[in-house]
Amino acid sequence: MIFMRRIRQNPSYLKGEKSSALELAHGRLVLMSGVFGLVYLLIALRALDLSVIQAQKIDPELRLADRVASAPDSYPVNGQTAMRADIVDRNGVMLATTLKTASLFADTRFIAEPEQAAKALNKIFPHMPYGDLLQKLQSGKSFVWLKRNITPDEQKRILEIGEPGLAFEQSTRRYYPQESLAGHLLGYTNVDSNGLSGVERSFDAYLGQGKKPLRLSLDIRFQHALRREMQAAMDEFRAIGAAGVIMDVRNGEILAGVSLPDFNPHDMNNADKNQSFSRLTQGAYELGSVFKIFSTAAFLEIRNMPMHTKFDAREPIRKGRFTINDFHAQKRILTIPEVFMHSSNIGTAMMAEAIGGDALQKFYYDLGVMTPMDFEIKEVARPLVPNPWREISTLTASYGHGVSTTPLQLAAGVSSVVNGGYLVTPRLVLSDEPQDNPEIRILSEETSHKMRQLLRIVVSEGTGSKAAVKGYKVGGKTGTAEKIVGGRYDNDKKLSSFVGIFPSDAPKYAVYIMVDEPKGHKGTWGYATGGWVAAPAVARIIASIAAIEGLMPSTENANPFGSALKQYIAAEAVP
Amino acid sequence: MKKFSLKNFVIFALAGLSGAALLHTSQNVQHAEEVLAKMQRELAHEEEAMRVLRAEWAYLNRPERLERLAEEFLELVPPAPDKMPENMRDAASSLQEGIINEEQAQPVRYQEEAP
Repeated sequence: MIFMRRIRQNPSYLKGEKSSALELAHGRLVLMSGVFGLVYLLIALRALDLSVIQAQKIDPELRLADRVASAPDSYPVNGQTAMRADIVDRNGVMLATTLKTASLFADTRFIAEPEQAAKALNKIFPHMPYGDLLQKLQSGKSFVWLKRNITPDEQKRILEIGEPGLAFEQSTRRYYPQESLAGHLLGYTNVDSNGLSGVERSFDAYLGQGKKPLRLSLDIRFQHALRREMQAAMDEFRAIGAAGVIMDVRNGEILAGVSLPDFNPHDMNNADKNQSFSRLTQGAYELGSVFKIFSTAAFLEIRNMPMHTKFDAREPIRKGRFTINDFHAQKRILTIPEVFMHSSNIGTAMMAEAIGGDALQKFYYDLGVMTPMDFEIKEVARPLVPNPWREISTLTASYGHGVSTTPLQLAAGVSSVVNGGYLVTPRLVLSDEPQDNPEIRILSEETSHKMRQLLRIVVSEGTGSKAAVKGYKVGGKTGTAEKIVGGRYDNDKKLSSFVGIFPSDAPKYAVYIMVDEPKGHKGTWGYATGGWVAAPAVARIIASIAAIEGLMPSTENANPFGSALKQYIAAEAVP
Repeated sequence: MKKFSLKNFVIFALAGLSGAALLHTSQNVQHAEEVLAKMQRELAHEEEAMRVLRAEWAYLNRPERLERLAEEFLELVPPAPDKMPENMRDAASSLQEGIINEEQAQPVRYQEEAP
């Protein structure tokens, strides 16, 4: 105020001091308005940016929910989703994967034309009645399930209806492209993707992390060949079930493993106990004469007797209330190769007696056929061993009666015998790093070689002749066991099996098939033994393996493996 | 105090410039984030599509199906020793015979009997 009065009273005062004060005020005004102008300009620019520039960039597909979800940190690192990991076979063929599936629901408040929509849906899902659909669509509810887990194709067709009230909810679902083929070993999951059996169960934690695929030792081509021939054998002999395995004898890797009947892993609600039960690993059976491979190997290893050692098989062995008889009775004195190729129970029991019960038991335990398997899936049976082990147990165990084990363990035991004599255990999961397992020797190389020769003789001269494949060297052993029904061996209910090794001079594959309760027919003169039921199936599987692996057939006479044993075989053998 | 010092002008100009630069940068970042989000969405979409296609591929390549189709459309038979030429020369000669001999003008698929 003093300043203004001074200007009025003395205009000359403006000069000098006064003019500089005015200029200062003016400058401040300009500055203030400049700042405000700038701020307004910024606000205007921002408004323009939000309303015009950015509005064009917003993806019309992008809804609010997506924009919330698209915050960068909600995306998993490296595009890896936390979906349950895949399972693949040894060649990388997909066995199990997780897919996003859509489930269809309706918000009936937005249904424009219920009749039209119901008609269109009925066309896509013919099993859903029109009236039922119409009722649901007209219910007025904001959420009605119409169909769970629809395929992408069905989803596309539903979108094409163009009905705004039909919507989808995304969820994940375990999918098995090979369907029932890899069945029991692979296992299955429930709707929440929790593994309930097989590898799905035992590797549930690993698979749930969604890391890289789990690689199994299975080869889907072998798996198919095995299953196909097992099914054919089951159909031909009207059997109630079958188990089979193809194993790499050098390391115990399971190339194929099948138990029939099997299940569709997508439809476990309709699978009964008989289907979900794995005869391969969960069933412990008295497997019969295939055990002679083990008892004969033990005899050769422990007693180291020459091949021409004689066994008197003219009379049955009587021990207390037991009588041991031969099925393919020769009723004469037999050499070791003859005992083996005619599958003489009498001769084999004599071998077991010669080495003693303790030694035989120890060898069976060493082979791993008498203890529960240490295996990568949890569904394994406990083998049954006679307790107490009596003198008669030694005799019957030599030809596979009175002791029960799983078909898978038997195949591993045979692998250990023929691979040069070191122990292998069944393996289902392949490791990236080469496994450096210590070599546990259970037989000498020499005994293993003799066993390969004996197995070859069984196919070329003995009970396993139907397992012969022209052009390939197959060895093997038949086994026919009677099932125990009501505490007694039932002659009509058999377990007929055959184990084949191939190529017999330097085995790579062991193929084992067991058929449960086969019934003979005219073509087999009523026989349903291992040699009639399982051996031909094994022959067809080995032919398939040869084709898959591209192995050239050769003429048999070029290298007659096992023929060295022929000198011990009497010419007058009863066939 | 001086009227409009050069110093003040420079300061305000710098402030204005940096404000404009900040706005520009923030706009760029927003835009880049949107592009990124869109790409990630597309990536997830593509990955999902790949999963489905891989599953479909595995389903269509089921050994059982291939076997059925091969039986239906291909005239191939499983290998057997009597269907194998002894060596490549035999294979070549049998093929040649097939070409020379007019009566056997059909392609020789395999040798029926080993000589």
